[in-house]
Amino acid sequence: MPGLLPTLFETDCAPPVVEVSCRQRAVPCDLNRIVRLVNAALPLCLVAARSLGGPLAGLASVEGSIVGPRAMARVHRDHLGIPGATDVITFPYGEILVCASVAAARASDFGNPVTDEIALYFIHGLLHLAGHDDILPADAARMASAQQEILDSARRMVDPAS
Amino acid sequence: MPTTTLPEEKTSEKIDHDAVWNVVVHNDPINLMSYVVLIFMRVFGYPRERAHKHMLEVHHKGRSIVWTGPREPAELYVQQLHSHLLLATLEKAPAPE
Repeated sequence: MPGLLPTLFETDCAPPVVEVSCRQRAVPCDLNRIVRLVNAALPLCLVAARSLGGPLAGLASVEGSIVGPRAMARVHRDHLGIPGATDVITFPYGEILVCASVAAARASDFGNPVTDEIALYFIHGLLHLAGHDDILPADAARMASAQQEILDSARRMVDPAS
Repeated sequence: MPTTTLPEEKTSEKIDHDAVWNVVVHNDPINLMSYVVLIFMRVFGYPRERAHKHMLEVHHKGRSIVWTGPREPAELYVQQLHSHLLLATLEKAPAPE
């Protein structure tokens, strides 16, 4: 009945299907956990998309790939004109690339599991698709806080006992 | 003096110089979406938006007609796409009504 249903998915079309594949072997990670965390995070990113007006809700699918540093550096150079690898690149048509070796280096700096660090980068990409921006320091801080909150919520859903 | 009558030779295929051909790119599980966009931009000189449109058509529908025209350049485009490891084929475009 209109007006009585939860409004979480109140959009004109079905939420996008998020698929994640691992295209590197140098950094071991738990792909199954990454997929569960990202899919748990998706509804929260869609809520952000409703208020920020990003393209996420209108996408049929989002394709996530975990890649190595050479593949990431190639995409970084070819599409953004910047040499070297980076942590995450998001394309507005629904592609998110995450560099496993950058995630591994930062995860060890902060003492986090690399799997959850990779999931955090995918959430960062989903928030870009939701309309978040991180060019200005204040926007970047807002986005960093939102992605951490969403990861924490996703962890509570995936690890209910913790 | 005996005479030999040779059968009239007929070619089985007429070359249709006016035919147009479609260059079709098919979905594959290997290449990144961003790589496919880049190759469309490089091979055909398409602007980013048009390259996105064709890549998404390949991704969602399994194939996209990325170029239509005479056979010779179409074959060259297919070769170039193959050299970039994209699945591409040539199809004769339906004759106009």
